[in-house]
Amino acid sequence: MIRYMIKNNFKLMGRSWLNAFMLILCPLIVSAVLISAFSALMAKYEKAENFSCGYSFEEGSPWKNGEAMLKETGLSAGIRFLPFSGDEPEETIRENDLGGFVTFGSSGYTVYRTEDQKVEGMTLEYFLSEFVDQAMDAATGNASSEETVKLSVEHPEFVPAVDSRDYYGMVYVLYFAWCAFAGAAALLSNEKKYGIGKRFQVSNLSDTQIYLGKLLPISLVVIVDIGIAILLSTASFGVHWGNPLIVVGLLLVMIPAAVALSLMVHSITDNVIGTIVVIFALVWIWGFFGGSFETYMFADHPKIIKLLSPIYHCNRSMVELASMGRSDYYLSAILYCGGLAVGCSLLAIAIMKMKRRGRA
Amino acid sequence: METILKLTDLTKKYGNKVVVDNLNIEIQKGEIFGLLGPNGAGKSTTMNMICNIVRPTLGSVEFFGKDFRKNRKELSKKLGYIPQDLAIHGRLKAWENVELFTSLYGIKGKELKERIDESLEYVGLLDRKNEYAKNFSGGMKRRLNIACAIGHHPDLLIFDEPTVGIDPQSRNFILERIKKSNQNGATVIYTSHYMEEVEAICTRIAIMDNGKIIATGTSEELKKLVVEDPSTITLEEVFLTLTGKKLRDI
Ligand SMILES: Nc1ncnc2c1ncn2[C@@H]1O[C@H](COP(=O)(O)OP(=O)(O)OP(=O)(O)O)[C@@H](O)[C@H]1O
Ligand SMILES: [Mg+2]
Repeated sequence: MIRYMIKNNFKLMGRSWLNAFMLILCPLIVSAVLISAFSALMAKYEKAENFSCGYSFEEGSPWKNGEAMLKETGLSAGIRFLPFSGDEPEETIRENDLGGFVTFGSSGYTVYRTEDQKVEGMTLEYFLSEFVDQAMDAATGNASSEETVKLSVEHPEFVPAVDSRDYYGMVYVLYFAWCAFAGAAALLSNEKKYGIGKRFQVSNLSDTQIYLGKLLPISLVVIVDIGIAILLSTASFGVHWGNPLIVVGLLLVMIPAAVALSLMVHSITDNVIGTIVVIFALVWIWGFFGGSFETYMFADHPKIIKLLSPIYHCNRSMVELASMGRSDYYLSAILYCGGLAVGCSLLAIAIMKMKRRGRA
Repeated sequence: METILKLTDLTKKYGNKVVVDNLNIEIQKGEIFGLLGPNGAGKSTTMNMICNIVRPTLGSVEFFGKDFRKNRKELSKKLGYIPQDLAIHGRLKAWENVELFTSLYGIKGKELKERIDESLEYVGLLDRKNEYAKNFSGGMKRRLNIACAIGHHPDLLIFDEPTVGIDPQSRNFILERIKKSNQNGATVIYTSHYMEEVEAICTRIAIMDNGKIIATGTSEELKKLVVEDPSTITLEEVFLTLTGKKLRDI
C-alpha cells in the first residue's frame, strides 16, 4: 500500500537539486580540498613507517613483561624499539637520532617526541595507544588496573598508515551521508507548507505506514546519492574503498540510521529548520570525536568519547577494512547503526501516535 | 432515510476562545448540505473535526453510526475530504498527485491507473495529466485538489470552499461535477460564502456564525425566516440579516 508513496516521494526527492548538491557534490568538494591540504602531513606519516625509538622501564613496571611483544609488534609496524636507560629521554633522542622515546612507569607510560621528528612522534604515540588498548583488552584478570595487567596477548596488530587521499576520501563521504536529512528537507518542508499531512491523516494509513513511507524512499535516495559519490571519488581521486560488498553492507545500515534519527527529531520539532540545526550539530560533534576532521589516529580524545560516536565506528571500520582488510569495528558499526535505526524509528512512530491522539 | 453523519454537541475551544459551539447536525444520505458562514465562523474547524484532523474539545462525530476516531481504518475509505488550502505537490505531475493520494486507500495496480484517469477526467484535467502541478493555473490547481480526494469513490464528500479564487467557468464546472457526484449516490457537505453557489446546488443549508448554527433549512425556508414572500429577497440578504453586517476579521 505504501509502494506508491515510496515511489512518489522518491521522485520528489530526485527532482530536488539540493539533495544531489548536498549528498554528491559536497562530499566530493570537501574531500578534494582536504585530500590536498593534508597530503603533505599524511605522506610523511606514511614515510615515517621505518624509524627507531628508545624505551626504558622504571623499576617494577608491569610493562616489562611485554617487552618482547613490544619489540616484535613494533617491527611489524615499522618501528624499531631500542632499550636505553631512561634518564635523559630528550638527549637520548637527539644523540641517537631516534623518532621518539617512551618510558614505562609503574602505572602508565610517557612518550617523548621532538619538533623535528613530529610525524614520527605522533606515529609512536598512536602505535602505543593502540598497542596498550589491545594489550589491555586481551589481558585476563583485573583488566581495569594497569598495574596488574599481564601482557599475555600474542600479536596485537598495528593499523598500517593510510594516505590522506584514502582517509579523507572515505571519511567525508561518510560524514555527508550522516547529513542525510539535507536530502529530505525539501520533501518535508513542502509536505508541511502544502498541508499534505492532512491527506495522510484522513486516509486509512497507520502511523507506521506513514513513517515507513518516508524512511524508505529517503534512505533509498541517499544510498543512491552516496553510491554515486563513492563511484565518483574512486574515479576522480582514486580513493581505495576496499571490498564493495562491505561498503554497501555498511551503507545499508548506516544511512537508514541517519534518516531514522532525523525523522525522529523532525517528529518532535515538526520543523525542518529546527531539525537541520539539531542534526547538523549532533553530526558535527560525532564527527569531531569520530575522526571526520582531525584523523582519529592523531586525535587524543578519550577513547570512551570516541566510542560513543557512531561516526567513529563507521570511519574506523571503513579505513581499516580498506587499508588492511580487517577491522574490529565493522561489527560494532553495524550494531550501533542498526540499533540507532530501530530505536529512532520506534520512538518516531510513538511520537507520531501521541501527537495524533492529542490532535484528533 | 439513512443518517450518514451525526454531530452531537460538537465543540472546539482554542484556549478560552470557543470556535465551534455545541453543534448538533444530522446529515442524511443523498443530501447536498451547505454550510454558509462568514470568515472565521468555524466552518473549516468543523470540517476538520469531522475528518479527524482536529480533536473536538467536547462532543462526538458519528459516521455511519460509528465513532470515527475508533473506526478510522474502516470509515476513512468512505470519506473524501477536499481541504480549503491546496494540498498537492507542485513537483509531482497531475497524475502522480492523484496516484499518490488515491493509493493511500489501498487502491493499486490496474485499478489505480483507471481511477487516476477517471478522477482527472472528472475535473477536466485528463489531457494535462503529464504536467507538473506547479505550472497549473489557480483554477486547475483547485480542480486537481479535488481529483486527489475522489479516486477511492467515497460515500461522503466534504468540500471546504472548493471555489475560492477561481473564474466563473471553473466554478460552474466544479458545481456541475458536485451535482453529478451527488446524482451518482454521494452525499456532499459543501462550505462556502458564495450564496448563489449554495443556493444553486444545496438541498439544505445551515448558516453558521461565531461557531453556532443560527438557522437551518432549504433556501425557501431560510428566506421565510426573514420575510413572508421568499421571492422578494435573496439568500445573501437573508445571510446579512441573520449574521449582521459587521466585518469579520477574527
Ligand atoms: N489552531 C488554531 N489555534 C487558534 N485559533 C484557531 C486555530 N484554528 C482556527 N482558529 C480560529 O478559529 C476560528 C475559526 O476558524 P475557521 O478556519 O474554522 O473559520 P472558517 O469559517 O473556515 O473561515 P474562512 O471562511 O475564512 O475559511 C478563527 O477565528 C480562527 O482564528
Ligand atoms: Mg475555512
